[in-house]
Formats: sequence, C-alpha cells, structure tokens
Amino acid sequence: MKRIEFITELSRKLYKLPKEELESVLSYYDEIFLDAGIENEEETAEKLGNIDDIIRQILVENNIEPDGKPEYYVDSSKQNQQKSNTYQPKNESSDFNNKPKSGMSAAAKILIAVLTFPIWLPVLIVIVSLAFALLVTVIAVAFAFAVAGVSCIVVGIITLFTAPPIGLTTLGIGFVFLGIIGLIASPILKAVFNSVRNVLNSIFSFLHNIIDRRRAV
Amino acid sequence: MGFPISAGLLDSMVLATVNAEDTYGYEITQNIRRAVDVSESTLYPVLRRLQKSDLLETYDREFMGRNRRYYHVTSKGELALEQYRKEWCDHKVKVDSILMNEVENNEKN
Repeated sequence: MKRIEFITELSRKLYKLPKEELESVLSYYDEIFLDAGIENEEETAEKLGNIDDIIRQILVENNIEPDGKPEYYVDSSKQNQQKSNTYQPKNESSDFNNKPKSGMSAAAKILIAVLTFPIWLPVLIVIVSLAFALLVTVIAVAFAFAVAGVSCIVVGIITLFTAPPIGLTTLGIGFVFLGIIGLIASPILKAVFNSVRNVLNSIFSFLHNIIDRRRAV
Repeated sequence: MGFPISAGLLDSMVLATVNAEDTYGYEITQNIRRAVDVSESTLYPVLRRLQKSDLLETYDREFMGRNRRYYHVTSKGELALEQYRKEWCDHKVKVDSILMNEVENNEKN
C-alpha cells in the first residue's frame, strides 16, 4: 500500500473521530511515511501492520465502537486472504462455481443488453458517427488552414517581385496560417484523435467483454 | 524479543527518548527499536496518551517544506520519568537477583 492509499483509507474509516483527533492521526502517519522515505512507501506500510487493526485500535482508544460489527471486518479480511492465497490460479472459474448468484447477474446483464439493443444500438451509432464527424471536421479545418497558408506563401513569393509590399503581406499571412496549424490545430487534432480512439476502444472492449462472458457462461 | 513489553515500560522509554532531545515520531520509533520490536502504529497511542496526560507536549517545526511534529517532555513528564527510572532500577535489581542467581547480601541482612 502506498502512502496516499494508506492515508486515504485512514481518513475514510476514521471519519467518526473528532476533527482534532483525526488531524493528529493523519499528520502522524503522513509524517512517518515521509520520514521513512518516499522510495520505501510499500515497505513502511507493511511495517506499520494491518491497517484495519490500526483503525480499530484508534477507534477504541477514542471510545468509539469500531463500526458496530467488528466481526464483519475480521470475516471480510479473512475471506480476502483466502481468496488471494488459494483461489488465485483459477480465479474466474471458481468464482463462477462458488457464486451462482454473480453468474446469474452476469447472465441477466447480457439479457438486458440484448433486449434493450433497439435503444442502445442507435445511441452507439450516434456516438460513433458524432466522433467521426468531429474528427473529419477538425481534419478539414486543419487542411483548409494548411492549403490557405501554403497558397498564400506561394502567391506572396510570386507577387514579391511585382508588388513587394503586397507580396510581403501575403507571405506573412501565409506564415500566420501555418503557425496557427502548428500551435493550435495540431494539438487539438491530436487530442481529438486520441479521445475518439479512446471512446471507440472502450466501446469495443465493452462489447468484447460481453461476448467473452457469454462464452464463459 | 522473548519478553513482552508493558505499557508502562513503553511510556517510560518514550519519555526517556524525548527527554534526551526533543524529537519527532519516526525518530522516536527508530530509537526504541534498538531495544524492542515496535512499530510506529504501536507508538501512536502511547504518544497520544502521554500528550493527553500532559507528560508530553508538541510543537511543529518546518522541515523540507513540510511540518514535523516535535515532542517535548513537560515538567510533569520529567517527574514521571524520574519515577519510572526509580521503579525500573528496583525492578531490575529484583529480577536480576532471581534470573542471574545473584545473592543479595544486603537484602538478606
């Protein structure tokens, strides 16, 4: 566990403490992590011991019952340990065997997904086409700027010999166009391209998951 | 360590550490670790208790752009430490007399 995770967990589970007490706990542990060195965060957390024990002890010291049900914590931590110790190699299959309920809910999810496809398919198509339109627009605008820039430069160079002032101005405008592309358009283009790719990726991985689950069931 | 450390012993060791020089949480643990295997999380309640019973007080000092909480022994804490030291000496002599089979001539008389 890293320092940030440790501190967040403490503040999350110790919210019942008086403000001053909570501040004292958090600053104490934060200081310990920092003094032990940023590079040893995992090791420091390990040395500090089980965080749930620490939390419970602090609550008890402050006359607050640890959330009413201490057994719950013990049980859940035991279960987690068992899971990580023994079930890890064949995690998924055993999960399906041991918890028919979660298998049912997965099947139900697929069923819902299939039944509601008249709703989400159009939405999906709209999202994809919007993303595509956005991409095309940005590309088109950038392209237009590039064409304008290049042609201005070409025209500028030509008129430079016949009418130097106009030629220089046109040349300058051309460079401004290219500069705008370089400074503004290309980052925007990159950002749009990336986000479109991310959206499409997440949609496809979502579909992929559903198909995979169907196979597993 | 084969011997469990009592709360009183832990209190007194913390007091002694801080009494030698005002210091901060991590350093206190490191010092006490030379003798017994304790973690910072064991010492937090000890420090807090000593603070609440006015044996220790704290002040913040800046260190590399952040705060470090330094502990300082109050006059009440100094008295308590003195008392602890006396008790420990007594205790040590008695335990030694049994554990090391030391014959205490003075006590026999």
